[in-house]
Amino acid sequence: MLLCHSMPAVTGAGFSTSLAGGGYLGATQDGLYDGIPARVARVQWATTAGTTASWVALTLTFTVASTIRVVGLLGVTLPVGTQVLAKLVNGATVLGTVSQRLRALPPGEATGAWLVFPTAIAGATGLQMLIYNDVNGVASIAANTVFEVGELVAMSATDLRLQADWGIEPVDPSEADLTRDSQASVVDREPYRRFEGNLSAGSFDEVYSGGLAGQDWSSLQAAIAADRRCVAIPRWTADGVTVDHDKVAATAVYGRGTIGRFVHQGGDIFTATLAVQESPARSL
Amino acid sequence: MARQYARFDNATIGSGLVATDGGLVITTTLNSTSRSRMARSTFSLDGVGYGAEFVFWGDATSLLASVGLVLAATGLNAEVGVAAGSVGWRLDSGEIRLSGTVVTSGLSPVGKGQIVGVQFVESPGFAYSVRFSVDGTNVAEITLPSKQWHFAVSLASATAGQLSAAVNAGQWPARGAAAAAGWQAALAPVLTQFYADRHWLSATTDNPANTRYEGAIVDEGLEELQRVGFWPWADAVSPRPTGGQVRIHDPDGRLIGLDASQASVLVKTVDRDGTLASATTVSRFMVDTIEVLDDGYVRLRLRDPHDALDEPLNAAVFLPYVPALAWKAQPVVIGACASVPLLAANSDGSVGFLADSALGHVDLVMDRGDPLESGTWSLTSDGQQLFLDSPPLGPVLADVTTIAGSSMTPATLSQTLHRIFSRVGFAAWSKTDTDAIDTATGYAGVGVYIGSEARSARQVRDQVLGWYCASTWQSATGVMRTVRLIAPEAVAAVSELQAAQLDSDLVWAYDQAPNLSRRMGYRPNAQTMGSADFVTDVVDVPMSRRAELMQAFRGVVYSAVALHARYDAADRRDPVPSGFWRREDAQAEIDRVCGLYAVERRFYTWTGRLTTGLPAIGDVVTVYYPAYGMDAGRKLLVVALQPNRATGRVMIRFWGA
Repeated sequence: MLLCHSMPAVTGAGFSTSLAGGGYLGATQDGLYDGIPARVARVQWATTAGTTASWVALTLTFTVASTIRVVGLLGVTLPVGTQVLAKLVNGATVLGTVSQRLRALPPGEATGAWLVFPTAIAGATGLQMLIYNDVNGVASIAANTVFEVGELVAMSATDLRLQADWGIEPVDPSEADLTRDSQASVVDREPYRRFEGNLSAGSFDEVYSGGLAGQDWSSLQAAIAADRRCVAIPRWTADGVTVDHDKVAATAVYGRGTIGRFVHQGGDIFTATLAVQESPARSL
Repeated sequence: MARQYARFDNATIGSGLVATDGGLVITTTLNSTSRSRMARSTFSLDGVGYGAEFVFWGDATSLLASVGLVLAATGLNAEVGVAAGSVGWRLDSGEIRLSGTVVTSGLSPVGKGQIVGVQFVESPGFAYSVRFSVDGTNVAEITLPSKQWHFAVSLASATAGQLSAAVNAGQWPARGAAAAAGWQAALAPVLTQFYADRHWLSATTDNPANTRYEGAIVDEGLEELQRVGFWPWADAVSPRPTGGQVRIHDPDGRLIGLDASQASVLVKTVDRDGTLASATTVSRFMVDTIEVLDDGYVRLRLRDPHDALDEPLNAAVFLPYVPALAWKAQPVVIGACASVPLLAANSDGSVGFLADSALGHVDLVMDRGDPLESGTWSLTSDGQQLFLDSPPLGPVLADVTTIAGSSMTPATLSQTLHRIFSRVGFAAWSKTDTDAIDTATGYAGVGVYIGSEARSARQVRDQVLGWYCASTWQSATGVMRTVRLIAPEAVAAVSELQAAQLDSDLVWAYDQAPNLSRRMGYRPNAQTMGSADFVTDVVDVPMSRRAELMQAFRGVVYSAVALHARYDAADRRDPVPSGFWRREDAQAEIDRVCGLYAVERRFYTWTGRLTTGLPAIGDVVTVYYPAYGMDAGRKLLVVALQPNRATGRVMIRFWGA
C-alpha cells in the first residue's frame, strides 16, 4: 500500500488561467489546504468559456522544497469527467505532470481525483492543479461558472506491505430513532470510511532505521500524528510499478491516521496496526 | 461593560469653580463677575449624535453662564467661546462665539431652570455641527472640524456660591434630543463572527457574499428555551422568557476575549445549498456569558436581547434647586393611581411634586384624608406640581391620572406598556398583541406608581402583564410578543400534532395552581396612610373611608365561580394584587381566571422531532395521542418550547384540560 504523509506547509494558494478573469470568491482559498474537505474554497471560472484546451489553475506554494508523490483534488462541484492535470514545479521548471478525469469517489460520490506520480518528485516548491474545460471531450463549463473545491492534497508516499486482512469499513454516524409509529426519525451526519489493516512483518531497519527509502515505521508514526493528515491507498498497482488510477480512486482514504504499537513477532521482526479515519468531502 | 457618562472633575476645572455631587454639579466659589474660568467634561468625543444637557439655578440675579465645546488643549482659566479652540454660547446675552469671534447673536436670553442642550449633528459638507437648544427647541448650529471635543461650562456670580449648573450626559432621562444619546465613552465594537453546525459559504448573490460560516458548532447544536408563566402557577411570569446555549469548538480562542455585553447573536436555519437571503431567522439573543470549557471548547450562554428593559424606569432625580427633595428619585405615574403622595417642594408644603411627567387629570386631593374643596388647589401648567392655597398639615395624597380628561381614566394595557417602553427607548414589542388583549377584555385599564424604590422597565412590565394574566415571549426576529392565559378548548386550533411524530411517550402532570386565589385587590394605594395620619372628623372621613386609605388596595373583589375540587385552597389565599382602577374590571378578570380552573388543568410534555411546523408560544394545537382520552385530539395551549435548531428535536410543554 501507499501511505501518503508529510504534506508540506503552504504559504498561500494562487490562481491562474489560460483565459482571463476568474479567481477565488470571498478570499476562501484557505479552504484548499486546511485539511478539512468540508471547508471549501469557492472558485469562479474565467470570464469566457474557452475550448477544451483552456484551463484554470489552482496553485499551492510550499514553504520549503518538498518531495511529492500523490496529489488529490477532493470535493469538487464540477461534472464527473472533467479533465484535470497535476503539475509539480520548482519555480519555472516543471518537474512532472499527471492527468486524470474527475470521478465520483467513495463514500458519498463526491467528485474528485487522485493523481499518483510514477516516481516521487523531489524538490517541488509548488503544485499547480489545472482544470480544463473538457468534460469527456466537450467544453461544457460555462463562463463565470462558480464551483467549489474541498481540498487540494499533495503528499509524499511510502510503500508499505500490508497483511492480507485489511478492510475499509463504511461508517454512518447519523442518529436514527424510532417514533411511536416505528418510523425513522434521523438526524443526518456525513458518512465516512475507516481503513484498518496490519503492516506485515517488518525488519528492524524498516521499523526503526530508515529502511523504507529513508522512512521507517517510527518516523511515519510521527509524520501522521497530531493534526496532520495522511492518505492510505491499499491497492494502487497491479505489478508494483505501474500506477492503476482506478484502484487508487476506489481505495484511497484521506484523513487522520494512526500507526499502532509495534508488536514483536520474534527475532527482529515486528508488526503493527494502521488505521485511517476518513475526513469525507461533502457528499452529493 | 458598565456605561461611562461624562461629568465634571475638580482636576480639570478653572479657579473659581468647584465640582460637587460626583462631578454632576458645578458652583462658583469667587465673588467675581468674570467668566474666565470653565469646567469641562472628563472625556472628549468626536462624532455625530453625542450631546449633553445643562440646567442652571441659584440666587444670583443674572445668569452669567456660557455653555459650549472646547478642545483639550484649551486653558481652563478662560471662557468657553472666548478662548481659542472653543465654541460657546453666552446665555444671558444671546451670543455664540467661536474662538473669540461672535458668529451668532440676537438669541433670546436663557433663564434659570431652562434646559440647555449641546449636541453634535450631521452637517452636509462638513464633519458635523454643534447644535444648541433650549428646552428641546433648537436655536443655532455652528459647523465644526472633526476633533476631540469636551463639553464645558463657564459660570460667574457676584457672590460666591449663588450660581450652579448640573449636567445630564445621559444618566437621567433627556429633555430633548441633546442628551438622548448622551456623552458616553464609546464602547469597543465587536467583530462579527460566523458559525454554523456545518461548514458553509454564503452564496455569491448574498450580502455578505461568499462569507465562511465556520462549522464549529458542536454536535448537540443550539439548545433554546422559551417559556411563559402566569400568576396562578408556581413559576410566575418569567423575567427572561428566552434563553439558549451553544457549544463551539474554538481552539484559536476567538470567542474568549469577546466583550459579552456587546455581543448579539442572530440565528438562522438554511438549506445546505441555500442562500443567506432565503434563510429563516429563528431567534435573536445577547450573549450572557462565555464559559471556557477546556482548551478547545467554549460554551456561550444566551439570553433574550431586550437589554433596554433592565434600565430603571424612574431614573430622573430632583436637582439641588429644590432643596427639600435634592437627589431624590422623581416618582413615576402611569395611568390612574390612587393616593399618590405630594412631595413638598417649598418650606410650608403649599407647592409639591406629584410625578415626573405631565398629569392629565387630578381628581381628588386629600389632606390627612379629608378632601380639599375644589378651588383651593390647582395643577400647575407643567402638569407635575400642585399649588395649594393654604399650607397643608400633611400627608397630602391625590388621585391622579396621566390620561387627559375630566375624570379618572385609567390607561389601557397598550397605553401603559407604551409609556413604560418609551421611557427606556425600547421599541421591539408587538402592540398588535396588547391591542388584541384590550379589545378582547374591554377593560378600562390600570395605573402604575413608582415611588423612590428603583424599578426596572422589565419588573414593571411583568407586574402590569401579571394583572391581565399575560406573559411575554420572543418571536424569531426578536420582537416581544404578549400572550394571555386562555382556555384552549374554547378557541380554534392553529395546527395539530400527531402521535406518530413523538419520539417518546407523552407525559402529563396536574396543574396545582398554587397561587390561585378567588380574591383580587384593585385600585392600589400608592401610599397607604397610618391611623394617626387622619383628621379627627369622622363625618368628613368615615371609618370605611379610613379603612380604604389604610389598606394596600382601595377594594377587593371576590369571584364566586365554581372551581374544581383540586383548587379549593384558592378560597383561603391572599388576594392577588392588580392595578385595575375600576371594580368591574377586577371582577371580570378574577372571574375569568377562576373560570379557567372550573375544570382540572394539566401540563403536558411532548418530545419529538419537528423539522417544519414548529408551533409558537400561545398557539392552540390539537394534540393526538392514543391514551388519556386524546384519541380524537385535545386542544392544548403551548406554554414552553425547547427546540434544538440543529437536530430538530423539540420538547413542547402544553397546558390544558
